[in-house]
Amino acid sequence: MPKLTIDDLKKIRDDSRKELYLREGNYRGKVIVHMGTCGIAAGAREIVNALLDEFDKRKLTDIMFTTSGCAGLCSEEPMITVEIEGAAPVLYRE
Amino acid sequence: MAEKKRIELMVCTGTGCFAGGAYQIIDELKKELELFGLKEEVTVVATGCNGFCGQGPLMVVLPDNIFYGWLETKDIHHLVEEHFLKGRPVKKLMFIPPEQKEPLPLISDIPFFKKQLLIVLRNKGIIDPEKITDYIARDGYLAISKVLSSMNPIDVVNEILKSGLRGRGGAGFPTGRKWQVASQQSKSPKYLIANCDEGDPGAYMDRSVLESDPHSVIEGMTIAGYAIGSTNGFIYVRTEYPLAIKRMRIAIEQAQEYGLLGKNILGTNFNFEIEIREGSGAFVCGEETSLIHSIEGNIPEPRQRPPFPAQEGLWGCPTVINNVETLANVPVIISRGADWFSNIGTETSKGTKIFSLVGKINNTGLIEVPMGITLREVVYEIGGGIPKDKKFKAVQTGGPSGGCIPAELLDSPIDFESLQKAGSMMGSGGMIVMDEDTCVVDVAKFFIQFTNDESCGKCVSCRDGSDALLEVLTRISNGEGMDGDVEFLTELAESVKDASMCGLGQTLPNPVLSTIRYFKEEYEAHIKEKRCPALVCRNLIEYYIDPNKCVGCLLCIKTCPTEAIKGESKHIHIIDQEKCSKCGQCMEVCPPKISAILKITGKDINNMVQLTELISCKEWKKEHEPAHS
Ligand SMILES: Cc1cc2nc3c(=O)[nH]c(=O)nc-3n(C[C@H](O)[C@H](O)[C@H](O)COP(=O)(O)O)c2cc1C
Repeated sequence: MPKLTIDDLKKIRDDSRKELYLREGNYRGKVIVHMGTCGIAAGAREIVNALLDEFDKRKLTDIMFTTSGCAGLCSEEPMITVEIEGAAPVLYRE
Repeated sequence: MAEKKRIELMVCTGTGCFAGGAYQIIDELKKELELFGLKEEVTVVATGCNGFCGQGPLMVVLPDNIFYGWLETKDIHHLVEEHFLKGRPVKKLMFIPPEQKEPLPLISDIPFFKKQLLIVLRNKGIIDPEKITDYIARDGYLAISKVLSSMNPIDVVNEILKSGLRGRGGAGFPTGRKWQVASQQSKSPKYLIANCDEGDPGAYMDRSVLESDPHSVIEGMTIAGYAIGSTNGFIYVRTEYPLAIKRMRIAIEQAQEYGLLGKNILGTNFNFEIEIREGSGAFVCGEETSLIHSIEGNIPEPRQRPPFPAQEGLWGCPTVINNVETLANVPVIISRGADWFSNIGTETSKGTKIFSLVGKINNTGLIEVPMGITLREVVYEIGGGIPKDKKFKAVQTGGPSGGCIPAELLDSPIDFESLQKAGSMMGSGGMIVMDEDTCVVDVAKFFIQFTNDESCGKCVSCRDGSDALLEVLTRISNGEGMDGDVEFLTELAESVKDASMCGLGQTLPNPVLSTIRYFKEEYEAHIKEKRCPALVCRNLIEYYIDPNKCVGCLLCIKTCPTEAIKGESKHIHIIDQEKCSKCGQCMEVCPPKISAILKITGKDINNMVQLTELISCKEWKKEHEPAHS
């Protein structure tokens, strides 16, 4: 590998930082997929997959993606909750 | 491949967790993640020491920041299914504060982590220590870039001087001054040595730095090399630290590959190489002049200073020798500035210090705290207090030649000067908490035993002085103390301090002097009343069975390894003091609601002897009288 210059180093830093975004904890919002047994039965896994693909396509690294348990409205599953900083949480169903 | 990563599992693989089976946990996690089809979404990262060693093996789940401890492979299937598939964190693997019922899920809520301030350990548990790009992602090697592109060596020395950084290896010498002296020497070549000998029993701060963030030490060394005009660095690590050595080796190779070590670093004309030297030596090898002798291949004995190593060190050349933790501070100081650094800490002690917090304390582990924090905050907030509601007695800081600091001084700040004033020292950062069941004579004896073994023997005062200290302490603890022993110990200790050449002899009397200073009455009890108030010194304690409580269940008789207990079912049992080895097993098996076994010392023994004789007579009569009638 050729010798690095300071600019190369900064570029490596910026690229590697993307790899580490989960560890930095700078998020402006959060998407929660409800994955209770009811959610999984209603297809929550597919929702997770579709969302993760979309996150990757759009290079969204400032939104935390997480899963959680049943939201208590099993008949409406699958559901996701979206929380964006400075706005009220929104629950999306089916 | 599409990047679908949504969770990272930061599994601690420091030495403690490693020994506890961290890699088995990692294998199991990978297997289960595969099973649930989560392999791409959830990744496992092996990190350096997390610090909360008492909870290991452990991991932190990111980005949720959930902490799981005391992991076992059998928990992993359930954990993967519940948390990583269904998103329901598993309560039973979370940390529960002592004497509480509800777990604390988030690492940020756990008191052990709350009061810490991470400068040296800024990357612990966040990066993979075997990946240079992880270090770079966290602004690694930007400090050396700044130095090489915009600073003269003198600027670097001045910046470190201004920061107030003092050596973390024990003596607290201002790092900038040391560099300044070396940089002004005209002789060349010059050398730089990172000291990771860490011979203090129970201390593992430096090992942890190498294990969790080796590049921070490499970067610190390179900056130091530039500042003093050296192109050759050595890192002296003890052979007993195989994981630290392995990670350091990997880090050096990667840095070379990236052109961050070697010739023309970052395209400039600065060259710097680092070699690892393994030491398998004694405690005294950590002393700088001995360490230099050891690298030279000579007998690791200290020599008289001056000349100081910065003037005449390795192979007679100017040499800066710094502790690993000192060096790991350097990149941060350069990046964030001396002013930022000197705002942290106290008037004379800047920045943070890493301690290994062990002994009679609820939360054991490695902590990094700002200088000036009080001992009370460390013991009661970070450490979570003393287990089993026992009373705090003292905290021993500074390693084997530090002193014991009593409860009255719990509110003193932790900095170089305050610890010294209290009769102890910062040392390299060992911190051993002692509760009411600790005997100070026994503690002093233990540490003098260690330093006596480790004395290289060159100075009579250290070699024979520690022999004599040990002999008197042993006598006192055996119940053979005499009037005047305390005065003799004090006088002898002072002269060992004054007459020894290196820090080993100069500090080894600290445990004796500090315990006499704060716990003199305990020495007196041993000497005058043949009483060990903490019930530790074997020759001064005896085990007895309380005749009013014993129900004659035979349990202790069956357990006693020396067959020292006499008695029959439903008859009061009696311990034969001649045969008793004082192992205390009888006390452990006696059912708690009976608690008939007494451990006693001093006058209580005489009272008990009389009582037992009385009972023996009665029992004898009970057994024999029917035969007569
Ligand atoms: C007996 C003895 C053992 C020592 N062991 C160590 C050690 O293990 N690690 C260390 O860094 N310094 C140790 N020192 C202190 C070193 O002599 C030296 O002061 C230190 O490495 C300088 O680095 P610093 O200025 O960064 O603290 C020891 C000193 C003595 C007297």
